[in-house]
Amino acid sequence: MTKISIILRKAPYGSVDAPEAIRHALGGINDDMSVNLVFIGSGVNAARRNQDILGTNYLSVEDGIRDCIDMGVAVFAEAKSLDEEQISDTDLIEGVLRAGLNKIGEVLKTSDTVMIF
Amino acid sequence: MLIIIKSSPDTPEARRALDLAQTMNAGICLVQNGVYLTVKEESRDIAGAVYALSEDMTLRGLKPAGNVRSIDYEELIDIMNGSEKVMGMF
Repeated sequence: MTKISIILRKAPYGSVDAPEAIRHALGGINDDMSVNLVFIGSGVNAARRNQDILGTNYLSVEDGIRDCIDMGVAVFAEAKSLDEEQISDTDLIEGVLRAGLNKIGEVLKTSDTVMIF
Repeated sequence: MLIIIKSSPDTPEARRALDLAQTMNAGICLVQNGVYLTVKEESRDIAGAVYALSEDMTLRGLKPAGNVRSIDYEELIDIMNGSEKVMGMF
């Protein structure tokens, strides 16, 4: 089975990177690939819970991540970045895995394709 | 003086705006991805007032804390009108 890892480095709602990363992750999982979605740097802000899109024209990044998790995408948030962005485990969307750089390195090393947003 | 910041904390634009605000003892107003600065230490080093647009905070799942004052658009307009000089958006 083809294994793809998608890395998001940018905070959501400031650019199209977050929704694009999620779109590719959902596309991959639908094509029977093994998909990892990895948040690092300010990208870990995508994994914040309680994102409220009411009254805006944005698509909810939080809902997209929940869809990914429901469909079997493994979603990781890098631990040091979470600390820097002051995101505690209770702030995280359920199902997002806090991971150290060793674990993330292992995931990337075993991936056939790595896409960076 | 008021400096408006719309860029993520990890961008050169936000860094430059923070340095300017600290140098000139200015207040800052955080909008769009600039609201991510509310959880950063740097926003506590600002001598002037620190405002953040509530709508942009809510969208991103952030809650105001510390010295940050949450405002809406009308208040933003009032604050801009009441400021002697406004610079932005970084």
